[in-house]
Amino acid sequence: MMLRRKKLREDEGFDQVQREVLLAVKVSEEEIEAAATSPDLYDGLRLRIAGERGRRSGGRTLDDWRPADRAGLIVVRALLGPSRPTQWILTPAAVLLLVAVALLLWLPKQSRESTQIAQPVLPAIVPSLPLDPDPRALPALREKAIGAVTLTSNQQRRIYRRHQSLDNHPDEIATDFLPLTFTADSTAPESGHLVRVTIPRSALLAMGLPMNAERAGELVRADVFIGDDGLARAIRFIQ
Amino acid sequence: MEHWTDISGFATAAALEPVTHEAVDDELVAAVRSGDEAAFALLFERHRRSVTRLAYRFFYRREQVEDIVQESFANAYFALGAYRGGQERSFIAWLSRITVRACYDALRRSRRAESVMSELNQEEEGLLAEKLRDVGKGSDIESAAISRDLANKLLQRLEPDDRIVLTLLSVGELSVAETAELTGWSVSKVKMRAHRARRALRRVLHRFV
Repeated sequence: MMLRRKKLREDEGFDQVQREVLLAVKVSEEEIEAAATSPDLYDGLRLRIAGERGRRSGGRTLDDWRPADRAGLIVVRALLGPSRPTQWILTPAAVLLLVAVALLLWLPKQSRESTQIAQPVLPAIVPSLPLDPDPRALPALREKAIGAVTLTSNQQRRIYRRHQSLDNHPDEIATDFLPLTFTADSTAPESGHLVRVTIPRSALLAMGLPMNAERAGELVRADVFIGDDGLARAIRFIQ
Repeated sequence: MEHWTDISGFATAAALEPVTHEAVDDELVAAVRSGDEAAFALLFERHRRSVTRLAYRFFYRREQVEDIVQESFANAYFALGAYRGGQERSFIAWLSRITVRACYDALRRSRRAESVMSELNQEEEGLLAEKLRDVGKGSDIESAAISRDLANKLLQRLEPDDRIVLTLLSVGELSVAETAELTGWSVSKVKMRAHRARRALRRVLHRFV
């Protein structure tokens, strides 16, 4: 009887843990809204549909081309002609040329990026909110600021790639980047730097993030993404 | 069976005026079939939030979610010929089923590709055990973010079938019948899967608690 009761209690405990784990993956409405209203979303979908349509039809027919592209294609076809032997030489040559140009454009960009990441830059955190804001006003301020600063999916991808390349510490746990809501500037940076900082938990308030007042004195380790303009744009926590 | 507008648990606005919304969707579908691309843009506009919400139940990185949304709408676009609509099934229910299928395929792909990445290291295992012991206590924002990462890593250890069923039943709070409709499985298979999935998650959790 005792064993059965103990097992029942254990089962209930596990059920609660299961529920908590499953509920932990829920995201906020703001995140859903941000992803759903991403300006790239529909463009990406159109490209995907166009690509799939081309794949299904086994390549585009002349009717699928836009008038300008169609005219260009007709000129190229007239120049080369379907039966000309030069076609077999010119086509691989054109492909090789394109690959060479792409490599030339790509290589300097890569080296520029790696140099940029290596430069240590101190975070210039310039909060536009008071350092000790009224806690009741925080949700409204946060909501307002989220509207002002939203990282585009491309920027998030760039940050994600960058933090993946910088993160080779197997003993660290990092969260996703959270957009910093205290920055008034709505123009998101094209590039920037990742800086590891240790800040008091109370500083989270100034960034528009909620904070447990009982643990205000504790320190938090975080990576801050600094834009080229010196403003902190996003933060992720490290544990 | 209850009408399909609220099958995914998120179409509450549509449920208020089912007839009007479904009629509009069916008209838009007919327009797309006759070659009106703008009508498809309207369909996308009307349902992108619902599809995004559903995708976020299975994936937590925004780029993954956007990918699923695009894949779902693209699949729907090419399958519009098979959409019957009318009294048989609403457009959102039909689209939700396509989205769940896209999520399932992506889970299977990511399970193969990320099996090494999703492994928890020693530090993470310790932290997870600590978090599971503190279940129900208040948490900070960074703590919540870390919990979400850990929960996702934990759920990645489940089979895609298990994860689909558990998420729809527990997170989406759908009934067994609704889950069966969304997944295309029989009711008995959903029940059996749910039972196995809970046991599998329990085995995983047992390691840490």
